[in-house]
Amino acid sequence: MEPDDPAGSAALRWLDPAMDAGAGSGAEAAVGALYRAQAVALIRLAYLMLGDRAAAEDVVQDAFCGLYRRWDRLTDPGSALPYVRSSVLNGCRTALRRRALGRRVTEYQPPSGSAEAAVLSREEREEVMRAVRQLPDRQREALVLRFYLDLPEPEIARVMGIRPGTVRSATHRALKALGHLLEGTP
Amino acid sequence: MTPLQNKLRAALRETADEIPAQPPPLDLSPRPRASRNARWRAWAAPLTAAALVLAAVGVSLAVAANLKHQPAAATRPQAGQAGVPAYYVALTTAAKPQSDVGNDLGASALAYSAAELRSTQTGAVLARITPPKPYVSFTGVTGASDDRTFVLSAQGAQPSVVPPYPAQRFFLLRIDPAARAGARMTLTALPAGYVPAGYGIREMALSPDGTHLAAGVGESLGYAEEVDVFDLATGTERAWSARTCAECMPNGGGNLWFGVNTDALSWTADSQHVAFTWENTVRLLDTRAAGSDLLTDSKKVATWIGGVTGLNQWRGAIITPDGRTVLGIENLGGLNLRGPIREHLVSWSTATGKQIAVLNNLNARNLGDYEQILYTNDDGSVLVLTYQRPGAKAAIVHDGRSTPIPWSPYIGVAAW
Repeated sequence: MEPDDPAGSAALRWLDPAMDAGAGSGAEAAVGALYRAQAVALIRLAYLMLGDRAAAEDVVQDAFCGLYRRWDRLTDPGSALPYVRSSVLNGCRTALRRRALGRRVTEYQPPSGSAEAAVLSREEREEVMRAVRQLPDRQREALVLRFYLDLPEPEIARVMGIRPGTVRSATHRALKALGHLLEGTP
Repeated sequence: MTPLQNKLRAALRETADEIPAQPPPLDLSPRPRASRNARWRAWAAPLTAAALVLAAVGVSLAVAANLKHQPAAATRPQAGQAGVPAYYVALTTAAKPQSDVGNDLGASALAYSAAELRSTQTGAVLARITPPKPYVSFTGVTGASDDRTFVLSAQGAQPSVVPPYPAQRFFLLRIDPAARAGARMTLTALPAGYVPAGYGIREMALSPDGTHLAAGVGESLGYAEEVDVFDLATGTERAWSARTCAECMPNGGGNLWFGVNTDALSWTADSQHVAFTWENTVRLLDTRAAGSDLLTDSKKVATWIGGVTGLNQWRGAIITPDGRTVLGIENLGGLNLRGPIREHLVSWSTATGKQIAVLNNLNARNLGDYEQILYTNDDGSVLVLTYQRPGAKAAIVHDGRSTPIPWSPYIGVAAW
């Protein structure tokens, strides 16, 4: 079982064919290895964006299928993870647009309690997540990439396809808005 | 970091943790965009050459201690490589076992800490479960070869594969990829009284329709003393034994090997007949018969001319589901603790009872490298074997070709 590795360091190991003798060969093996290493983190990322596990899994599945189709055009295997992250975010945006258009209505489902939820009470967590989901897409993406995946600003910029300065401003505005929504002090 | 940022980080991580650590399988086969439900149906579909299933299915474990379930009727096996079901259940150890397959003098049988659902094609772990408390280790596994239904046996806090045996319990494992996320795999405890303290499980086999479990159990070391057939739906149990000869015990293989044998008992496709070995013969028990005498209610279907004489013995023997062929592992020279061990895979015709062919000759390199038959298709033309040749821990053998199955050194035993 792959370790939970939101930061993605395992992906690089899996991209080394010598480390993955059982995975097959070529693009399938590489994409499959990346999936094994990163699927959970990416589904969680999409889940934070969408609040819908099924939709999150679909978005990630589509992103990897897209990566597989374009694998031959990938000049640097190290860019696969940023590429698929961007694809996941694009997929989330598309899903949110569809949702907004009423093609698919999926409300955020408050999570059931878990043993891991020791830091925040369930009510607190739901309150924070409701507030996060009220933010504009770009702000929400910036927050999730920064505070869930712990990506540095240049990487966030790369994944979101925006400039680092825009990342900074989006994050700042998102935190400010979040503070207001939670009626706390940012 | 501000209090708000800390709170945000905690909320994000705790919410993200609702997604289990095992993602659904990746399907790379080209096709139109599909709904989630369609994808889950595809999970069970035949793997195409372009598809690579490499990941995990979200799993939760539900343990019910009652027998109100109705085992589903048999479903067609999902085609994996050469028609072998695409998924199997492996019992694994936390530490590397003495050998790479089961029956390794009991060391690993005491410590099967988990059962893993794995992909036949890739070896990827699709799901993992541990024994429900108070049970601490799995001891055996058998499957219905339908990709959906397995039975596991488990022992409690003081496990032992030698007498006096602790009580064991069977668990029915069902897989339903189309179910909601929290219920794709269920583990249902079967009656606690099935295997009381004092009785060891020597071998077991699940019927193809998933409704009955045959098990060889006994109080002594190394031999089953009766063949029991459990109705998993009603909880009823029937036992067949033979008292005509104190030394003649039903022994489906693995003589004097510990652990639960996987290739000792076998069913025909009608889920009504169970094959077992008896001295130098393989016999077929009619489970519809009203009696309890193992010999009266069974008939001979194969004879090993070499016989169980001296140090020669059966290693395993199964009947193909079509009932026409018996496949057996002859162990020549007996238990040789220093090796090498000579073994033959041999086929017999059930119509004549005579040997048809010697399919391979194996001089095992290590004590634990025994050949086992883990799966056969309907007519025996496709097999999953362990150690059918040097270097092959497990492989699909079809048309004389051997396709290795990705294998983990932590697998003790597996079933399809």
